[in-house]
Amino acid sequence: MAGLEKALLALKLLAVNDRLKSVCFIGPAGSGKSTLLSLYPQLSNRSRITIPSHVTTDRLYGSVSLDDSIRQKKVVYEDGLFQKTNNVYFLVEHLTQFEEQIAHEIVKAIDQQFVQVVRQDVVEMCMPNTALYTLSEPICTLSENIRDCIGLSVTFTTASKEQRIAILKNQPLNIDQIQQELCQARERLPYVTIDEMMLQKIALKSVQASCFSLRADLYMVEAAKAHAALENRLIVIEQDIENVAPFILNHRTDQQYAPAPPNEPPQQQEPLPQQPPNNSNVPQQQIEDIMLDVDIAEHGAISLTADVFSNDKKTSSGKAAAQFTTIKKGRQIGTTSYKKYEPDIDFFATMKKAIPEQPLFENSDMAIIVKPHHFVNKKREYKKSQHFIFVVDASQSMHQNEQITAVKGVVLSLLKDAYQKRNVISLISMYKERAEVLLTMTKNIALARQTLNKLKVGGKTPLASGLELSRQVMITSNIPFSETKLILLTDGRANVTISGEQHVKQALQDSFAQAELIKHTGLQALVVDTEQGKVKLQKAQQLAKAMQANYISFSQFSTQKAYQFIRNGG
Amino acid sequence: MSIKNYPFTALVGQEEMKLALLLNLINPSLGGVCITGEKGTAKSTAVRALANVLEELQVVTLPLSATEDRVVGTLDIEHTLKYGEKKFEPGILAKAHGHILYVDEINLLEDHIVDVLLDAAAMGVNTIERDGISYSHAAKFMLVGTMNPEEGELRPQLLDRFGLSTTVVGEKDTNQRVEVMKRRLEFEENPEAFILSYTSMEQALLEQIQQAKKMLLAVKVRDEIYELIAQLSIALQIESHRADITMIKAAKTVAAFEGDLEVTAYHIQKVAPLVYSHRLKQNPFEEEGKSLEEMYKIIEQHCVEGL
Repeated sequence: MAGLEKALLALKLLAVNDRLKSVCFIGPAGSGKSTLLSLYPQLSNRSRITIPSHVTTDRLYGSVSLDDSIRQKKVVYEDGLFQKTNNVYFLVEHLTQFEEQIAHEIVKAIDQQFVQVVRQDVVEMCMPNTALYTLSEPICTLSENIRDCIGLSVTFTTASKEQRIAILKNQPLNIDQIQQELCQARERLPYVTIDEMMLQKIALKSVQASCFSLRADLYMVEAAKAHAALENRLIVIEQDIENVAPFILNHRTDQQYAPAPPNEPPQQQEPLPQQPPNNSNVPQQQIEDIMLDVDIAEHGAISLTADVFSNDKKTSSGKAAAQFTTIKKGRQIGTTSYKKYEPDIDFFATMKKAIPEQPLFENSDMAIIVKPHHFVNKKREYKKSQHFIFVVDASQSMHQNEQITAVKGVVLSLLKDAYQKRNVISLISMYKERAEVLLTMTKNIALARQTLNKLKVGGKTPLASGLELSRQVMITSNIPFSETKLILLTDGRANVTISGEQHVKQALQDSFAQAELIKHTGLQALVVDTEQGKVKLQKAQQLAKAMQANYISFSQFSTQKAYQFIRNGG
Repeated sequence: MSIKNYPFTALVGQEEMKLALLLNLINPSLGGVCITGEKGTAKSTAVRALANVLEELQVVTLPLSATEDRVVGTLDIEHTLKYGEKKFEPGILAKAHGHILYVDEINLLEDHIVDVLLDAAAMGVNTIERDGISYSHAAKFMLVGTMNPEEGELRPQLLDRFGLSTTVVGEKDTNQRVEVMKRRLEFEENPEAFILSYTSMEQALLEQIQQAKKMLLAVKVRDEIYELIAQLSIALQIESHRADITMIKAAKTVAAFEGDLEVTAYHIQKVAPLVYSHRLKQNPFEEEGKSLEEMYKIIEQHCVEGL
């Protein structure tokens, strides 16, 4: 129950202190997010306004009211969602499915409690209220700026059997009692004080978590005050800060592959990953297949992603799927002139165009007359699929330090992302004498998961062959090179030539020749250097230069970094 | 609903950003500021606070999803309807005339809108040829854009058109952070009293700005200074002449701001990072911070010799 209790506490804090502005629940479908969210109207005495993911700026900021304009024969504006500020809160589900710019605007407006609506000659200000967000993907799918504008967050994990039983057995919440508690806390809040020593503690907490945004501090102050008020105190003590810090830092710190960083919220119930069998005594040259039996799902930070995968897609995204079906061919991004043989009429824009001419039709008994020359078509943006090619060095060296496990986690989470955004992934493994294409342009998560789990590790590094294959995959795919991205994970220590012979010098030459060819395709590439040990040959770095690729060392690599590369190529 | 803004003089740290904003306020022809930096570094707060210093100044925010017609203006439907004649309905650029145009996350804005913005900012005029309207109006505004480079870069040719830029980093010193929290708490508890306690400082800053505006034309530049700027640009391998021109303007402005009638190497040193940092050649294989460090070193070398 720890996870759900945490989440309830976060909701209570928000209900007590408006300055916390928003709470985000992160977790797979069915983890109890919605159940808890449905309590909020009672906790806060506010009514809900849902912002769907296909919301347009018209509806957010308000726009011309069609019916009133027609009736009154003049332009009449109606309020947008942001102008509805009277005792409401916003519910924004599946934040990742919003157009990035819109997500920015919503989150920023809530954070700053301020929105500017420029309309005719007035610049209006309004103050949006609090908001609740949900996410069913890992937090790193959101950009850092969006994350920073979220007040509190709670990550849900799939409940264990014991937890499920506990939930079933658990008494229903006593809403009356909670309401009373909140009411008292709200009255107490203005009198809660915080001294300098506690402020020092807060600053230290943020800095230690390498979270340098000042928002973190300010939100932590407000959360600690709300917590103190809930605990019947008028002074903030260290316990308050300890309790609320995870809410603040959860979504603001990068989750690396290191097992549970100190600021990880304590609801992580899963046992720590078992150390994989120590293979350091396996001779480097031994070409023995080593099957990895470490299940990715057991792996700390990646577990959420894996959990999301294991959920049945049908049950998990009923709402989300419906939102996508409303879009025929991409999103409308504006209007364009009407084409007789491709009618895709933008009704609203057509009306707007017809309204000025209505005085000409004064004698008609129609409310509005639309002539063919008023027709306006929708202009749609159709997002092209992108193609990600992973070339993974599966030689013996990759087995050390669980690198391959981390790689699997990244590939899987990117695949999930690709699934949602209609992108495809190919996977090439460099193993033994020749590289092998394991996945070609797939979106199939189950297949990818199987393939990744069976990925064999061991042997030499046929780098040249891997690069050659990746180029072949690119050429045979019907996706333009500009929409293709290559992610190469290797230490660059090629030791097999392109024809499969063992000759280090020739192998390197071959690889560089292949890298050169890839450079000429003009695609964007990222080289992740997995080189280990004290003596570094920096071959991967040289290879990156030859390919004109972005370069990153494995220690800096994370799902977050991979998303960044994929979103904007560097 | 009136919103109480945090006083500019109450902002802790971030001196370079504050200087860049003030210089633009004194001399709008500098061509705007691009603030690059991490989230939560008081970027928005600073811009809003700046507008408070000058009473008549407003901050007009450009929403990221703004369409072109909302930015440049479009046909006024109501007027057309009532009087049967075309009329131009001003867009955000017209609203921003004489004020600050603030674009948060400018790197996420559609490229063609960024183009329109920078065109208008450079020319001081907005020209509209659309929806059957042909119209142009004055659009002199101070452009302030912020961006987080982790989310995608602005194209270099667009960056070059920003006069000044500054990089802000998150405060790592806990004492400074505590000071921020203390002031913020004080402000939120009683905004009126807090603003009142900074009135004299705000007033002093306002007078300094107004004084500098008057002095600006009188500031002299010696030939050695031109030479110093040229040397600096060459040393930093900067091709854009816009950089040189902006250097002169910015150096004059900072001299005026500090009450000096002649530009010295000291002024050059002060503004050079603001002018050059976004015009440095980007090398994808090197960390960005390194080249910035080098830039500071080169600037220091040249300017100390110049003194």
